[in-house]
Amino acid sequence: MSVSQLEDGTIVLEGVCPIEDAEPLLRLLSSGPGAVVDWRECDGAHTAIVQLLMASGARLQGPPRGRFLDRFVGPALRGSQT
Amino acid sequence: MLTPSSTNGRRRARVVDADKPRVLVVDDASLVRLYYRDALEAAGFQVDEAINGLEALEKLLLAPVDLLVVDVNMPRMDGLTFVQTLRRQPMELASIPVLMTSTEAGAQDIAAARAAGANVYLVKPLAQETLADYARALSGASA
Amino acid sequence: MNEFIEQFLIEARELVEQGTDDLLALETRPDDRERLDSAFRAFHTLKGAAGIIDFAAMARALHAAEDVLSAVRNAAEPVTPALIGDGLSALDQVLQWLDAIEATGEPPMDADTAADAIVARFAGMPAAPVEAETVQPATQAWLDALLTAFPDAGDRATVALVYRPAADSFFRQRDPLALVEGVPGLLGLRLTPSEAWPDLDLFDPFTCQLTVTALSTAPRSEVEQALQPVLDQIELVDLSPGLPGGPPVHQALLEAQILMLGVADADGLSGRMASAARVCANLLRNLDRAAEIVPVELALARSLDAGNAAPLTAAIRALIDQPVAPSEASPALPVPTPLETARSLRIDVERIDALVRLTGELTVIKNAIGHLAGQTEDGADAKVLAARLKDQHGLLDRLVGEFHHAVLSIRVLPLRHVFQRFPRLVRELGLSLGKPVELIVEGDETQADKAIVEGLFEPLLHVVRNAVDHGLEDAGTRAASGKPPTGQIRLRAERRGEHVVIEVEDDGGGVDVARVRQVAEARGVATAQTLAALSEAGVIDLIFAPGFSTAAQVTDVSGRGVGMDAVRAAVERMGGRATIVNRPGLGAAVRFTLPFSVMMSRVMTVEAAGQAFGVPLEAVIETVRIPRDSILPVGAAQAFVLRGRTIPLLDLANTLGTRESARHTDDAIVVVAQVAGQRVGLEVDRLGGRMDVMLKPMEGLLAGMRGVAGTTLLGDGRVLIVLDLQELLE
Repeated sequence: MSVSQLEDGTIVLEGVCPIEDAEPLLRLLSSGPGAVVDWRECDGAHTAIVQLLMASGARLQGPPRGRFLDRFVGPALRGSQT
Repeated sequence: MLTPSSTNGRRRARVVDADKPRVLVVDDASLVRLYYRDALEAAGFQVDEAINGLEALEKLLLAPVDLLVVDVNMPRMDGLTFVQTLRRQPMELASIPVLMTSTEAGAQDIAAARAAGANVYLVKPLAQETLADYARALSGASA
Repeated sequence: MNEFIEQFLIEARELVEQGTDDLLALETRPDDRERLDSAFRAFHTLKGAAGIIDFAAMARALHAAEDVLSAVRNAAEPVTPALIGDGLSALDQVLQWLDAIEATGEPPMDADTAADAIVARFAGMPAAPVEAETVQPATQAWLDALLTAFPDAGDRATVALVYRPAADSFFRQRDPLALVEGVPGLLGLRLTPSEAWPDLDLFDPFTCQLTVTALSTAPRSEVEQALQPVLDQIELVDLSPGLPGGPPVHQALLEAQILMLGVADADGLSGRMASAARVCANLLRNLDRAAEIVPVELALARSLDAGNAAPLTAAIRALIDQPVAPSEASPALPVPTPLETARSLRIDVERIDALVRLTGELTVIKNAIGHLAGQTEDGADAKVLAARLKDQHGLLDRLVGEFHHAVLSIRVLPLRHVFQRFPRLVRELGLSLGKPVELIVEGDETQADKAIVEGLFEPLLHVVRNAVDHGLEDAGTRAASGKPPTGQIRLRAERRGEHVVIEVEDDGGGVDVARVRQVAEARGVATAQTLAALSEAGVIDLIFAPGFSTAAQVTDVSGRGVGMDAVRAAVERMGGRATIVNRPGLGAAVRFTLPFSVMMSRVMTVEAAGQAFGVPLEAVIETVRIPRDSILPVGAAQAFVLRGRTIPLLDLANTLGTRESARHTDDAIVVVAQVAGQRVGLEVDRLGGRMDVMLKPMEGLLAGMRGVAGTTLLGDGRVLIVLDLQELLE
């Protein structure tokens, strides 16, 4: 599984996150407000993962390792928060 | 445009620049005004500045311009109120093209600018070249 | 971009000050809407300024703060102390960044961590709700939003696309973003929710609820190829310059006019229509298609008559749709270039000019010495050579001194740089000690050498801590002495002659001299015998003695193992003095008297005992002639009466101990000066003119002379001694 949670509550995305990660990620994100997601080790993410990050308004710790995520998805997520 | 009072010295000084399109930059931040002035002067505009909507209205009543570059968030009179007020003036003033800029990129911000009567809304920070391109296009100045 | 960085620093400091003021005022009156608006604007403008100099981390941090302030503003809620604290911390961080930019001329590279911390602080607070994309009246609202989000990409993009994936896309094994990732020449991407997001509890992670819009530089056919499997869910719009609207900027602008006219609001409609038509006419002129202006103006006339935008909208739509090839003369819009970031700070041209001039003079001397060296080889007369070398040495000496000062003058800063940090610190001190405190800052525009401004923070911090902790009484005691419950700390700077005086004054109980005696004896700072012999001022001065304040005595606020001895040492290292002014029952002030090391002074020249002196002009009130018989002996000293006021008279040459001046016969020529609040008359032999002088640090014989601020060389080669009146009369 490429979704995990650290002791301090930070949710970590690693490698390529497939659609199967969507449910566990949703559970972690719903456990409390103000979630922090560290996606610095993330190489890629399914649209289902990206839309969860967007819908939850989680704070992202980046930049992500994957180029597409870093160059395009990250800015799009930030742009959606204004 | 020559004004009737162009016989006095101060007005005559302005005639020298009469060919240049005139733009009024309305922004409370001096850094932004400096940055826009720099870009617009390089693009061949004659630039004047106002620090809020009220001052801009006062300046426009004295001398209309070819283009307004207007910030949204300003003290005393914000940009939206200013443009709304402008659009209710006689045609010479009401028709002045307005380029509105703000750091906000949300759909509701764009919609608010539109509703007020901004001809175009651009998100800051804006590259100087981009501002110059839009300013030329909006004012009809030759590139 | 130098001037932008320079302007940024000036403006950002003002904004931080404004924001700090507003937040502190909100603490007293949480419902003050004007202050809240002003604070919001300060954060907002700071964010914009950060954007202009490409300082993304700062913009991000301020954006987080601004969001929360905006939410409070919209909700008409009072401001919480926590928000004020976080806002002040954010501004403090900004100040540290400003200092870094000032030092290096560019935004710090490592600001992200600090920015993250600020974002995190504000993340816990309710921010403005994220609004779902509202449905806009025109069909191409998405295109408009996309071009607006990427204003710089508009010129290069050839294709814009909107992809609305079917809700069951995931079940069909589709990953929409992966498909978009495969689009060649991608320039920018926007993600919007198809409908407003549901609560996370109700969120179905397997339903695709995103709409993707993107810009690409690739040909349409290649984009279609990449999206082949989902073409039915995609809308493509060509933006290539060959198309009807002309270059993308123009097409985007025409679209924007239609959108503006689509707003259903009668208020200002005719103005909006007139401006839309004017913009269209300008665009056509710009595209060298002026012939098409007429239909637009006719449409405007119809629209104005009908009070309805439809005819004008149709005319603009026709401009976009009409397949008219742009004329050959159509000016191509230049491709925007990325902003340049600054590499250095700008320095006053005058100051650079001074350095250039001095460099020129140094070159002249270098050449002269080279010439002399040549003459030595040729066996010239040693005495003549020695005399010339000495001349050149004298010149060089003067120039080196001037160079020194020219360089120093580049380093002058207002004390605001250090004072700025105190409002927040004092607030926090007050909160942690449970004492309401107000900080009043005076004279923060006073300038001092950079080294002094930078070295002041630590000692000042310690003194301010002490003032809040020990200086101010608790609420009960204050009430008993009839003082307002809120204690006052004044942080004040002032230029006094050749010095910069900085004071931290509290309105507390003043120094308890008896207690200082006790403590000094108990800690072995002084023996009972010494203490008995000391004046009150001498006792108070013991506060600065090593070993007087210790960690055992001080609270956790003041106690960092640093005593007032360290404060005095720090001030003395900068060439200054630290003293305490005590007003029992009314408060105490700690005073730092520091040198203003860039010694460019305006002086009035006078002569006494054949020597030229400069009296700092700011101290001179007037010059008068006093008949000898009006001078009154007062004990061993002298005085005279000027407009009903008795003023002590000193003979300048005597006071300096230069030598006994000759007995004067006629009227005394007197310079009346104001020194440390007192008027004093200085008798001189002759009055000279006024001049700006650059002082040289004192050397040789003069170095030990009291009351001398420095020297400078006069045009006729004489040395002008510039006086420090305060020291002279002490």
